Amino acid sequence: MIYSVALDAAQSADNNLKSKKVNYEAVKVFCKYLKSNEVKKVIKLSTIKVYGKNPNFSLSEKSKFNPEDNYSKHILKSDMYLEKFCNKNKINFQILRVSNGFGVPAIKTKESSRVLVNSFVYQASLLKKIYISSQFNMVKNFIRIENIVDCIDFLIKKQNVPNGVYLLAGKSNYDLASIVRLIKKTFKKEFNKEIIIDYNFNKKKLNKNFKIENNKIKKIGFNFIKKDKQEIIKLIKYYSKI
Amino acid sequence: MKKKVLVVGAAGFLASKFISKYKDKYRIISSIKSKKKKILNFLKEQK
Repeated sequence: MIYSVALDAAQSADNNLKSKKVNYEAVKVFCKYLKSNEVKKVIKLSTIKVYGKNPNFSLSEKSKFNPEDNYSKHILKSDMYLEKFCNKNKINFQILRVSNGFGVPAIKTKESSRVLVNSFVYQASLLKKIYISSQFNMVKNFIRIENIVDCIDFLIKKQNVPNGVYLLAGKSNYDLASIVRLIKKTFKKEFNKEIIIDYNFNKKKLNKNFKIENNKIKKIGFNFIKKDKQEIIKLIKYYSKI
Repeated sequence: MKKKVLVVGAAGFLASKFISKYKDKYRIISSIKSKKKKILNFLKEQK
């Protein structure tokens, strides 16, 4: 089973009660149904935001929690509930804490155009301009959505995967300026289109030491493939059609 | 025989991508709120 129920961070910030219901309490209902049935394995999608919005250190599965908003607070509670439940009832489980996913969505939703890289490409396709409101040039990790779903497939097929939490992150980190420059460059090189970039960052670097350790999932045999530029090209084509 | 996979929250960004990519490989039962009955039936089948 794959459990991927969540209300995104923006909507969760606007409505604490709804966030609690969707991001946390729904897992209790799900577990009730698991209990009386012989489900072999549960894969739950989660977020690295449970360790903080912009941590300035190297993250691993053992890092200290620091949920800073409704979304990460409730997702963390649901992860912990599921973990306890599965351990108690001897159900295999893996919780995947994912960084910032991006890529061509299977269905058009507001959620998919709100994820960071998608939203930059969407803006650029629509307005020929990318505006970043952040005051700081934060370092982020981006992972292609294809990598995430391939990892789920890997975990379904693979026998004897240890239970627990696994971090999923892309091969490279980018600061915000670098990722929008890559998008701008791709628009120019592949589509001969000029894009204006608009940001005004404070000089202070807040999280230059940010890094994500992917070793746990790599050790059980999953390989991450870096095709960030190719995914951006696909995204440009996708949003240019809309 | 194809493995059965139940996807809860199937309309989301990640889950819908998984379904779209692997729909031929697995017997996928996807659920959104309105398909609660389908999930229960799926769980019964697991017994």
